[in-house]
Amino acid sequence: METGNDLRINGLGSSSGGKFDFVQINGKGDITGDLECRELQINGFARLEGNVKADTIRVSGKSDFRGTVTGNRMIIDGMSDVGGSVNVETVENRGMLRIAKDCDAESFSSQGGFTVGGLLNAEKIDISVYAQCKAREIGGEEIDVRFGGGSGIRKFIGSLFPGLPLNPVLITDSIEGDDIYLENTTAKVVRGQNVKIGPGCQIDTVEYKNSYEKNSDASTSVNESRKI
Amino acid sequence: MENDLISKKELLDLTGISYGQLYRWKRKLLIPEEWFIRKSTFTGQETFFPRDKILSRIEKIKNMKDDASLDELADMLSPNPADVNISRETLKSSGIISGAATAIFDELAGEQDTFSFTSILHLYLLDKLLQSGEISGDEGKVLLKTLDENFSGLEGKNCDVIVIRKLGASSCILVSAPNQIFFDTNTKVAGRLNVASSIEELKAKLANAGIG
Repeated sequence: METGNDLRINGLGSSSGGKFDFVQINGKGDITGDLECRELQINGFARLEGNVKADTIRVSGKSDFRGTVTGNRMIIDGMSDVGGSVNVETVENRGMLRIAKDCDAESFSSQGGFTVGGLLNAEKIDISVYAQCKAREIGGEEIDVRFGGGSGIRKFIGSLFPGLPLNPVLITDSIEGDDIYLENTTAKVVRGQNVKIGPGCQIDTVEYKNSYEKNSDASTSVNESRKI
Repeated sequence: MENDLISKKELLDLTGISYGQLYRWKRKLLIPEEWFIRKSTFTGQETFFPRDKILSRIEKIKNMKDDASLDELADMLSPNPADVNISRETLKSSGIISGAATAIFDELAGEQDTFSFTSILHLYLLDKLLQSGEISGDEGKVLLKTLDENFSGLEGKNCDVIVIRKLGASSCILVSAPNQIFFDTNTKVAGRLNVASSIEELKAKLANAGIG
């Protein structure tokens, strides 16, 4: 890739996309075509109508990706919508991430809220549940879901952005993995080698191969568990 | 379409792989997206796979994963053409493609010193159909022409190549798979090959011969 070929939008602007080294949007920017770059930084608001391929994507504001997103690292410190699928090695979400289709990653970590319309598939899935987290299916090797805490900050954010889904729970149809630990999770099926269910879970069925542990907390209910 | 399906649970039981492995292979595109078939059952949504395809694929991955990295495996199994050019002599001495097929190819395209993967693939498809006696040399030419003119439009997609005959005249069709096609009763399907699985075979053969 050519270096030194940067795209910067400061204020209000738009671009038709293309190949760049560094792309920075400070303010409000529209990119109407496909974008390929080494680093994409969004401080403000950006709408990207094409597919995006970037080594590093950093969103510290709000971004609206209409296509698919591929890359090495994606860091969300604000809010991000993706209309297609996400295929990024490392996803770090510290805000609100919404993906309409599948999300493939090697490592997916979230300290905030997210929605994945399809399958969330990653080797290592680390979720601290601060706001509502939702995925149709979750699959991977190590899956760790913990309650994030902080009811005060949630009330504060809720008062700033009414309508945000802030109830701290992970909702999904199925979770499948090798080592699974869950807190604050509502799921129909959980299947794995080693399954540990912590507080705040509502699970219909647990299927496990090696070991199974369930927290005795009254906030947790598991309808059925069986060894397979 | 495919009646013989296997559930995910049964698959893991039968092959002894874990969920983690299955999801990793899916991510690495070792198992094609279209094999994951979601169906509703009385326990909710379940994922099923075409039984024969997935079992042979997993066997293959298990056998090869000690020698090659997952990324190399993905290259080998993907329907995308490999990036290789092979000289005429190497190809000849490898014995992957017969002289008869090469002769037909030369007649159409002229003698080339090196072959790209796409040309070798066309040769391989032609050779397979010729060897099995399903098509004649002349039909082979039609096949090569069809592939030559239309293959780029289907690159990276799974497709079937079909040679049909009706009342002594033959024709060649390239269709993206999976699709059902119906012919009238006078039409006879002389030969049919799946391109993606042929690419897979060819890549394995090239790798065995130490080229590509």
